[in-house]
Amino acid sequence: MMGSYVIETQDLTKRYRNFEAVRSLNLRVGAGRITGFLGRNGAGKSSTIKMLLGISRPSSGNGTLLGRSIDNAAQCCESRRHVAYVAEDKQTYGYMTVAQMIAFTRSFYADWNVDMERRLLKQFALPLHRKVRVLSKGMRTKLALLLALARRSRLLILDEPSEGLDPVSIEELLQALVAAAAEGTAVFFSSHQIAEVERVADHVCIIDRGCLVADASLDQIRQDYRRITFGFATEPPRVDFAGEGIGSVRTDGRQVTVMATRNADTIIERGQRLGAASIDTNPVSLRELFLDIVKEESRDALV
Amino acid sequence: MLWYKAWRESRVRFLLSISVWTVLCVSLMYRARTGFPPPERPDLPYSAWVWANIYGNMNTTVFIILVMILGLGGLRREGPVGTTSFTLSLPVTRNRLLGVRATTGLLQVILLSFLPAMLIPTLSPLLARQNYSESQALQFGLLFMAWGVVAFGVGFLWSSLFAGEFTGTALCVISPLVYRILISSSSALQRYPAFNYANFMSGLPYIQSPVKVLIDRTLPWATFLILAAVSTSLIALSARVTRQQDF
Repeated sequence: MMGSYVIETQDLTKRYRNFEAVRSLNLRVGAGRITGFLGRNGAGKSSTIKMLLGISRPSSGNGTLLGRSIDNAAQCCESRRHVAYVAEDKQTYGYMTVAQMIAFTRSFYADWNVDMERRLLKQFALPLHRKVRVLSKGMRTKLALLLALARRSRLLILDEPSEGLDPVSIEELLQALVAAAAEGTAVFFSSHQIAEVERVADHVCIIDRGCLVADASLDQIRQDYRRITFGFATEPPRVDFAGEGIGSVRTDGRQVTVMATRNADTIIERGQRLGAASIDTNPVSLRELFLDIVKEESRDALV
Repeated sequence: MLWYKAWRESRVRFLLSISVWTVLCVSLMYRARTGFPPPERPDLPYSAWVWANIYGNMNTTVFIILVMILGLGGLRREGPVGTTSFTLSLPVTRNRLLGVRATTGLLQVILLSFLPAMLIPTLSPLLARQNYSESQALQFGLLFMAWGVVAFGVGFLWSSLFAGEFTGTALCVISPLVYRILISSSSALQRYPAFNYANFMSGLPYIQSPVKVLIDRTLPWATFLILAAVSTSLIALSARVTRQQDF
């Protein structure tokens, strides 16, 4: 449904010579929620974000950011007015002081929130008159976060925002993300810190080797996703478990483990009919789901 | 604030260029105090002394290298310091980013071109106890500016094509020397005096008396326009290249 998504891509692809960093990505990020964008290093998260913001151009496919095409320079520029972004490297201009950097960034955005700026300055204890180039990595990250969070933007895109932060600062960051979402800002953040995503996200998209391999809400994962382990007295029957609601199937000796994305009851009944001696059902954490998907993909790649 | 950014990123190079050019101008006037006229040429006019020390000889190539280095900078150069993503996430088009940088640089080139015109007529009576015509200085300034904006355009284009700090600077030093060799070895190109930047900037085609070395022919206004168009085309080409680039 058009309008309800702040980010929407259709077959978005990015090729670097012979390497496909992003492959036919169909991504939808809803308004007013926190979406975690999970993936391993080099999975294509940053490449996707750069294409969304017009920093790099798609090799094929298209997408929209706040309803405007990412392939049109003027439209992309217009959408950036309403997007706050923290890049993976969190670098800002080393020759400016913190105060100059804030004044510089503030001048581009009508939605700048001075109260929030003051609050974050105090919270992050940033030295106003110190040059950015002499700040520690953590301080530079905090400055980049301040520049993004001190606005009433419609969309907040953060690429590995917690990298380089101490645990207290990570906690403050996560709280800030929740607060931004509560005020109506859609948050889209990439990470490979699953615990952070699990703590604050409403929705999760998992990307692996450039492909979207999971797109679900955290509630859906908690309610519907199950790890079902069937124990057989003899060699398990050679039955194709693949079908509706089955994420992956793994056979280990007399045990068959099925990752169910839905229809867990139907799958259990099927296992019973096949003569399973024991059936063990467990909810799936995001970490388990991520590892299961990524390992599965890695195995497929090796075959 | 983009203007502020463009200024901050170019000011070291600009101040360095201004310093080199100022030192050249002041030293020629200071040396004239004791060393002018030279004993072997007691009849040498002060205008010829100024020409030999500022507008003529290798100084034209030094000026061209300085303005080409002023053309460096920009998005490709932000890559190694990691600020490209931040810059490109601002709500401004790449054309605007380049436009501001080009305008700032061109203003710096104009200032640099007319620096001798500001210093020599003003300071000559004080430092050299000689006088130098303001109109002459302004005319030489125009000749320097005309080729200066082209050289700036070349440096600007190099900076859009090559990311490395060293590569761009090396190209700015090598390009004018290679160009000068190319021009001096081609009889076809020598028929067009405007192609030879050293000859053009030193005003030789517009000077009748090799003794006084003063511009006394009409300046080539059409050539000025052509050189300005070449500079604009080089900057437009850089913008086109930058629009297509991935960062």
